[in-house]
Amino acid sequence: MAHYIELSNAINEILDKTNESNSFKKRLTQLIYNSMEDSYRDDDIVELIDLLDGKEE
Amino acid sequence: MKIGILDWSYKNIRGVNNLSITVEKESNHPHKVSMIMMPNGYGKTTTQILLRAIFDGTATEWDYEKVRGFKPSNTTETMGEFKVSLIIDGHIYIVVLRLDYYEGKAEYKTSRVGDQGGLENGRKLPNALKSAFTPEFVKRFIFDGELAKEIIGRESNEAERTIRYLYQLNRLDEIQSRIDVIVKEKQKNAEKTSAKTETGLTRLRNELLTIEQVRGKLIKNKYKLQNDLKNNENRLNDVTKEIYEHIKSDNSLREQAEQLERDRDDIESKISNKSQSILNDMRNPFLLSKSIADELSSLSTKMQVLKLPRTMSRQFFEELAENDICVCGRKIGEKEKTQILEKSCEFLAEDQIGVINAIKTSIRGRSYNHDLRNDCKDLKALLVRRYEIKSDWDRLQVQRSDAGDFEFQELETEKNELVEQIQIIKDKLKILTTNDRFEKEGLTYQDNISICNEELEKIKEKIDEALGTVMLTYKANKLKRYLQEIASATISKLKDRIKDETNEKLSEIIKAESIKVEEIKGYLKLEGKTGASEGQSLAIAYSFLGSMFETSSHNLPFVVDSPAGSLDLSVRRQVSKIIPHLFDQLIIFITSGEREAFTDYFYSLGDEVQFLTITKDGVKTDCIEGEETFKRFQEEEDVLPRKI
Repeated sequence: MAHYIELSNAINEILDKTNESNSFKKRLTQLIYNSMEDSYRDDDIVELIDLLDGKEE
Repeated sequence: MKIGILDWSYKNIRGVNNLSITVEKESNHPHKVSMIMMPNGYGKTTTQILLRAIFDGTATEWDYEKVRGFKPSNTTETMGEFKVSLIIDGHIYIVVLRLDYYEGKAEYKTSRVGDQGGLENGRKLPNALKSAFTPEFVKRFIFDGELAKEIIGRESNEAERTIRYLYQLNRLDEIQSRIDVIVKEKQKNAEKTSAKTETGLTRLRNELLTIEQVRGKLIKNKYKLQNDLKNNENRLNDVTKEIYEHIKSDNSLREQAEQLERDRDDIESKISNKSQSILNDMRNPFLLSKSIADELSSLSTKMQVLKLPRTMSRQFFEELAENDICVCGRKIGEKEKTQILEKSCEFLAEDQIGVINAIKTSIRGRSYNHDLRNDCKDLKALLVRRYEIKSDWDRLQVQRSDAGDFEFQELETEKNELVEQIQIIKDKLKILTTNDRFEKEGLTYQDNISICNEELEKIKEKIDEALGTVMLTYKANKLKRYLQEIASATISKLKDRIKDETNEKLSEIIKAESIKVEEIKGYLKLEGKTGASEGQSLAIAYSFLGSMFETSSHNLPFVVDSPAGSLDLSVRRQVSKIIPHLFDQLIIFITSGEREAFTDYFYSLGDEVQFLTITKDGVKTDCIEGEETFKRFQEEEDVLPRKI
């Protein structure tokens, strides 16, 4: 259920519009799916923040 | 999350009195559909209220009158109880709602291991469930028929909130909350600066610029002063030489001048040597004064006899006792061995004794003498002699000046001015360049290069930290924005899908009229209509809730009171065909008058449906299971129900 189609489509739709790295996109997607299973750690968020592009959009 | 209701029981509850109802088909598995015949006045509404209270936890807020309202009128009992067994993700939770009719208070108790496992105070359901089950949300599945109209015509965000929870988009909100906590934590750890925003960073950068400009001015000033000092010292040197030449040019003074010059060099050398010698002696406290030496000697005699640190030295005695020859060269026999081991204890002390031994060793052999005192006297005499030479030199200069040497007089004046000027420059340079902690007291970064450098370092550290914090805040906000956008896009897609499925169900239920949901906002907006009849509202609500629950992340029981009440017979038939397939567990409270055109379909579903009939004989209430009793209840007065 965590991977229902509307969520997957929304993730792809939003991330496709960004200039973030593939690594960030992959990790954010995984974080969201993990959150649906209530199985993510604070470190996952910290690593994701580090991967973010700091440039203005 | 999968939640099911297995059973519930009433003790001293208005309408029902005492009764147990089980909807468990087999161990820990509820019936898919439980249809409960409960005549008016037997406690259908009461059951709905109590079930909602089990899920939303609001009973502890009930007032005195509300709690006492559950007390049966014909009893003197002071306590009532409503107990529900739930199965949540495979775990059994028994939640008890106790009603104190005397005090007018309600309280929860929970058992997570079964009836025998002991009850804990409070409603101890999983946290994720507790936070999501607000009273409004609970009404969606412990269904309140009144809600049907609200779903259609009310400006409310409840529909969207329910979708967010059912499809777990609240988890994305939770990540955002965690991001806030992480950022706050990191900002708290950034102790050097309070600047956490772009404005704060700009302020720090301006501060850095100001200090850098001040530092530039100070360094420029230092070079200028050093240059002035060098020029003045050179000039002073020249002037001194010229003065000396003028004196030597006078035959009567030359010999004296040369002698004074030799004496001066000799005295300066002696003063330097003597000062060094005194400084060395001053490091020995015994030479400073007799009273200090006496006190130290007294301390030494008061110290205990020299001993050895126990931990390090015990082994020494043990090994010595094992040797054939002692350190003193004598033979060690059995008698000596015993003596060494026995006596060793007298020479062993705590390990800190090593420090005391070192002090004793340092003090031992030293004594006070008059060397330092004599050296000081000699130094004093040398200084007096230096002063005398200077006076003699001054006298020679006065003699030369009195002889009418104007050029000499001018040189004298210039020399004095140069000496004064050099001192002023040296004082300024000292303020500018000193690194001494005490000399820097009272100075600011605008006076001293060293303080200025320290300030620059501090401000740079603050900027580095603020840069990190500001960037972290920026990135965290960006991540939160992505999550919000993903949640919004998901909601939008879910609304479209739920709308389509709702319309599909509606077209099957209501065939006489075309009713369509145009948009799901906070509420359902109908196409071309501002409202709907009571029956239509109910049909729309079932279609909407069913579509919403059907594919959600959570499987919740759906409990409904009088589901067919206001529907006409045609709609009833259609609703009855759809509603059993929308939920994993459906519990329906129904009256005999609502059976027509509604229950027929359920009879055809075989053992998927459990039929229960609640009967009353005076104050005694019974629950009878069986389709036949259910079908015939209240049709004929002489029906004799089979008790379970």
